[in-house]
Amino acid sequence: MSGESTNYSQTAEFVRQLLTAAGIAPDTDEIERAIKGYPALRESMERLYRIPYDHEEDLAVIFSA
Amino acid sequence: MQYPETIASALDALLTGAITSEELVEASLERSEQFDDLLGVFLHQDAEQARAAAKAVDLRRRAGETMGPLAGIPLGVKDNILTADAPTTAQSSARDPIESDDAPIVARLRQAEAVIMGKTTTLEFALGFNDPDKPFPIPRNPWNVTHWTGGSSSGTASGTQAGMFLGGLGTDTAGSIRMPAAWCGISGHKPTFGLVPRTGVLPLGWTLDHAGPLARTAEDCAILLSVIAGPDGEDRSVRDQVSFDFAEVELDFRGLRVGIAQNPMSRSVTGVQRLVLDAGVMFESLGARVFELELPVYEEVVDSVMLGLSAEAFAYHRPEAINRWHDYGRSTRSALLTGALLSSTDYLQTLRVRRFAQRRLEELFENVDLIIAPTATQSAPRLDRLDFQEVVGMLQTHYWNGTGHPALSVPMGSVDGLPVGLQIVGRPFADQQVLDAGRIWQRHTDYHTQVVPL
Repeated sequence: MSGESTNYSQTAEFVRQLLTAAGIAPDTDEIERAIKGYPALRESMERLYRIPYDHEEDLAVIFSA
Repeated sequence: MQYPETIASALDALLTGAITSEELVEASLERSEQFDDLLGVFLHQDAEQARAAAKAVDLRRRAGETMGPLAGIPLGVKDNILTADAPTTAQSSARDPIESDDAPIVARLRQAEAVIMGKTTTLEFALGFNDPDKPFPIPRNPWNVTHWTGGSSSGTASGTQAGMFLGGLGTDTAGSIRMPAAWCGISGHKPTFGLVPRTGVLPLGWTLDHAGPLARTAEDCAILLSVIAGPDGEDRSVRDQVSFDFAEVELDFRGLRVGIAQNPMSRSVTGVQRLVLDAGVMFESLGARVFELELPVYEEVVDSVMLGLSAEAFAYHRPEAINRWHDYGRSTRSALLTGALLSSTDYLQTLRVRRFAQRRLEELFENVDLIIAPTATQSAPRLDRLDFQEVVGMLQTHYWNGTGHPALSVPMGSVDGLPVGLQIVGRPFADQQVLDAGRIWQRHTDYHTQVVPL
């Protein structure tokens, strides 16, 4: 339980730092939702790093299609 | 006068003199007067301007002049696309309304002598949800006003279904043309990335944004696309040599390989799955070889689109987000906030995933010509039960924004008494083939002819 609350407070601190760096000032409830949703957001993002790339991929900005 | 159901039939009627543009526009205005308060289609409408434009077209026609390809056709334009005759608000209080010249795609419609009926409702900057606390109409589904239209090209879709115009322009960053088209029972086409210029379209996500047509039929979408496609010298994503010339060629389904994408099928309700399978049977009866297939890295591309979109939107909106945070609607703020939590490394990774998927799809399309799938997992949800994350889960459109392929949604029946859409996807720049497939589908079905009984 104390591990969970430590994780939560670390996440909360990190999310607040990111929002400060971004320069925005959301409402308290918006920040709270962002903190609660951050682990899932991070997991969605981490999944993108786990794709087994078989060669160097460039970026899909200009489409050669 | 009976209101024509399609752009193609209206053009025929105008050509033979069975109707005039003034009659057409008057009938459209009458529908707007009757139902716009209920349906929330328009953010701005200037009836006198529309009447004047229609009158000018009729005068030219009567004088025997050569007419533009859309002469006298009433159309709607989504309010995130710049127009000279009306301010552009993107349905937001966070920025002042924009006075400007026409976006090139609007200028092309006017050059083709279409009659622009007004600016249609959207979601805030095509991103948030409709917010009852903000001073904008809530778009309601013409088939059942307690249900949502889908978004964000909401007004163009519902206004087409309700007979307030015959079609129009929308934009599609994660499904915003195809979703409302499907849920309002009309057709909508997301062109190949790089076919239609986005100059003068307020950005949501630069690498994901597409502008395109909505209309009752695939044929009408093709007619509109042939007017708006092609380079404008400004949008560098549009390749110099691309164009789209609508031609009534008969797509031969014999030997065509049609794949039913299983990833979106497995997420859909039974009724939607059954209708897609029925579509496969129909294509098979025309001579196609129909089989199941899996789309590569489906979940990852969907995530990369939603995450990348948030990052790109936050980059665009950051100055206002810093200074006018509470002028944005709550759901828009929520999406922008997600973008603020991502790193530059994360954003670049979303682009790498999309390129990875493009390469895998190049291989896949060596063995398949068209892919069909549900546009959404179910029919339109109730307005009072809208949840952003749930709606994102219903959409099966994002994937093709991530990869840039052309994707058309056509009506394929109804589930729970409301329309649902069939998505038809082809190779990059095979928009003609995709739209022809839709046209042939609509020759053998009558879902697109079902007009809401208002």
